[in-house]
Amino acid sequence: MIHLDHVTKEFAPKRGLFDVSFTVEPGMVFGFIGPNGAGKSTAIRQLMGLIQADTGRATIGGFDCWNQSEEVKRLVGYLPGEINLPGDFTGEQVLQLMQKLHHSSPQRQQELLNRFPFETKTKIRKMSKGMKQKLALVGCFMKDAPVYLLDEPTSGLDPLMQEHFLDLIDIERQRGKAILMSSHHFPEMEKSCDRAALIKEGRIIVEADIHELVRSSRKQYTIEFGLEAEAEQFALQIGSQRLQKQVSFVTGHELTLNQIIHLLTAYDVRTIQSSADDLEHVFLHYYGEEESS
Amino acid sequence: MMTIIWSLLKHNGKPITAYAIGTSLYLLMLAALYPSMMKTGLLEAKLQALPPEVLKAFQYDKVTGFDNVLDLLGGNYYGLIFQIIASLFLLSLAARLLARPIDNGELILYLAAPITRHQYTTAAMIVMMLASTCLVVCNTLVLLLADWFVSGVSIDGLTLIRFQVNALLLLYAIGGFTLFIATLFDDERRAFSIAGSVLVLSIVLTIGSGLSEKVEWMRYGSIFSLFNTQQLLEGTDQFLIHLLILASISLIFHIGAFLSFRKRSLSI
Repeated sequence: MIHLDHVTKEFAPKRGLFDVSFTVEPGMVFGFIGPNGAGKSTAIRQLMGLIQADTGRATIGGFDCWNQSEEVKRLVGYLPGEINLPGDFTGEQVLQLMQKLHHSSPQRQQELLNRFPFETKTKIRKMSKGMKQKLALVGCFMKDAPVYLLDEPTSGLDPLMQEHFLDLIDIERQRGKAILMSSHHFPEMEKSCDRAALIKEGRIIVEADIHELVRSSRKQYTIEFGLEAEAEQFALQIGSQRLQKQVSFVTGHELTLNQIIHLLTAYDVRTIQSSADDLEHVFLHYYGEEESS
Repeated sequence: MMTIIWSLLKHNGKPITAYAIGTSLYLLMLAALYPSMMKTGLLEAKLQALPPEVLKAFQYDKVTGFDNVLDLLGGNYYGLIFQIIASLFLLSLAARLLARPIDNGELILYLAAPITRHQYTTAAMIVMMLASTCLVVCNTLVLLLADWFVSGVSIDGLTLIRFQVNALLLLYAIGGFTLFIATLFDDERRAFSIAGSVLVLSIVLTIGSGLSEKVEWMRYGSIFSLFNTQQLLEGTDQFLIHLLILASISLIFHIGAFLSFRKRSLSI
């Protein structure tokens, strides 16, 4: 349904997209994961017909995204990464306009407003980032399109709304929609995607089934022991360093979480903390390999 | 298409109405004051006291014997003030319709829908033309009202129509130019300053051409030479030729806007 075929768009050296290919089939949620400035939004803009590729081709439903953008946009619900809307409009006015432009149903709009509630009479310029994000989500999904392109969809949403969003994604996937979503936040991708690609400096480093990526991902943990001696001994066991009573380490193929838990049964453990699941930590080994090669 | 036009009009209605009402009120005030100015002879005395270069800059050639209010407006309003207002009006409108939505990303509200860039540009062009027409029609209606209700204004209908048709075509031409420049850049300020510089230069050329007969040729470097109020009043202008040139300029820049906007990459 969504297809990028060796697309290159160079803005500057290492800035843009370089030979990017992937396919998203109906009923699939495809995650596009990468740090800020990696090229995620550029790829989505290619698909929206906003940017013309230097080489390669982007298509949706068989239509060329640059030359047949009107046909493409009939099939697509789009959520931009930055929500910029006319400040003088109220949320209600924006939704009314979107309804007319996209020929969407008021009933679906109401269902989505129940899922992502916000004060629709508020002017855009008075809205918080979260409110604007909810407005954009309602506007995007009320189209009931066969394809969704979502650029950082949970940005600014509180945890409850993030859960509502993930539920919605699950429903839409079951209804056979092809969904491409970008994020630099791995946990939400882990929960919602079937397949994902890691991108850095415009190049796809790895594309795999999400479970495969989860298996190969690495997380950092910090454990605090009751005694410094215990911390020292544990650090030696796993080949890590101690900082007072704390030991930090990264799990992966060589050192799995199961092995760690097994070892810890012999110690007086006070706390276990996992570090923030930021992309750099989770996929550091991929990025590292890319840089050294 | 109607949805886009309606939405753009709604979004830009306030400035359009403000310019139309503001200029019309100014014209109404001058028309209302005109009879008393003529009675006292104060206006003619003041004009005679001014250097001829200044009068020429405002396109006042005759300083004696005002026949009707258009003689006054030809210099006072249409001679220079209208040029400045037209430039500001169309610069700001093109910025609001294209340059700013491109710059801040608001354009995605429309371009995420099954709308081509062609359709959006057409809608923006129609809104600019409607806004220009609204300004000229309001100005005309106010002068006609003044003619009917204020004694001594005595406007010649044909001259008024020639004035306003010429003014309208001038607005269309400047509108096409500002819209074209707005499609060229991602940065609103850059688009505004480039289009603004060209229009300021045009005004400066018009004013400069009045300073001496040696530099009168400078007038022809300015688009405002195609709206010569003095010649329109005297009936000695090349009215149809000017209209034709203005329509051609408008057409060329509008086509340029379509071509430029169709092919550019947008980071929105």
